Amino acid sequence: MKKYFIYILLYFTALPLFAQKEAQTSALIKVKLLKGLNITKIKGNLDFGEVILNGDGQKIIKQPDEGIEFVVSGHPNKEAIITYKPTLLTQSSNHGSNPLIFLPAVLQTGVNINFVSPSVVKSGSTILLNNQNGIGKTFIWVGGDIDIKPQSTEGNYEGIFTLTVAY
Amino acid sequence: MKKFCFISMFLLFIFPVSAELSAQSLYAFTLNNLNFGDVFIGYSSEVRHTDENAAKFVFLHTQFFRRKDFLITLTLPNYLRRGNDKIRIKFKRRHAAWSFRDREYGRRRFNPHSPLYINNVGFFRPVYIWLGGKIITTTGNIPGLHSGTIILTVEML
Repeated sequence: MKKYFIYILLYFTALPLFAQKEAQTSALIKVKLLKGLNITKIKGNLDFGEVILNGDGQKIIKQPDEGIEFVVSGHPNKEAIITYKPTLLTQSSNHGSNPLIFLPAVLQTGVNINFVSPSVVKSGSTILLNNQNGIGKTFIWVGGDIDIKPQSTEGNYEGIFTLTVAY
Repeated sequence: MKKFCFISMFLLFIFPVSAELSAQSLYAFTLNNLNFGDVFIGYSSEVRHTDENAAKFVFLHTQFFRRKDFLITLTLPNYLRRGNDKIRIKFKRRHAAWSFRDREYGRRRFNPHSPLYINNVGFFRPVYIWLGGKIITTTGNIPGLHSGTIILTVEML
């Protein structure tokens, strides 16, 4: 009986000897780096020039390919949201009364720097930044029209048009 | 002869069986990876230990009716890499915490660069460890996925 007791005691004292003393596990660390967005003007302006007032209402138009061309660059193959809105054009000498309204027309030509196969970009819509040698690019063209009312007075009208691009 | 057979059987059969039964007595698992998500080049980003994107580990021991002490060490990278490009990553005390419960309240922070001692842990009692970090990108970094590895080593004392 005493021998059995020794065997059992030996059994239990042996358990911790075989026990696993160390465990290891690993976790992955991940981050995706994105290029920041950038808008650069390539050419053009939104100067509508001189308009002769004739007492009637008239609409002056600048086609997008005659307006401003921008390039939006950012992370390749990522989408960006474009927003813009109509701009009030005022006369500084007239304290902002009787403003004109500039209604923008925005088009995109994808990776093509030239005005080829343009498509309309509505405010709040997304554009794809097409991969060009590791840089996401899309060319944007801005034109628009201004409604001149019969009661509009002569002078210089100015306003700031803002085009916003965000991921 | 009978006695010799019995002892031989004991040594050849009972001992290996007991070893097998008790061999796997410490378990460590990764429950979550450390994910910084999308970060713009030139900016820094931080994940706290309370953030759901923090790394999360759990370990426990299964030695019945025993209370054990543990030494935990984290092997941490200095950089996240993508090819030759690298991003500096820092781990501070505010990024690391442990608790017996899987909840935010009651966590104890620790220095992730130093060994952590946890004493008197009952069997089947899980110990949770969370780890965040901070990365600092530079304008010279290239876009894309950068990665690294955290290794958690748990030693039963």
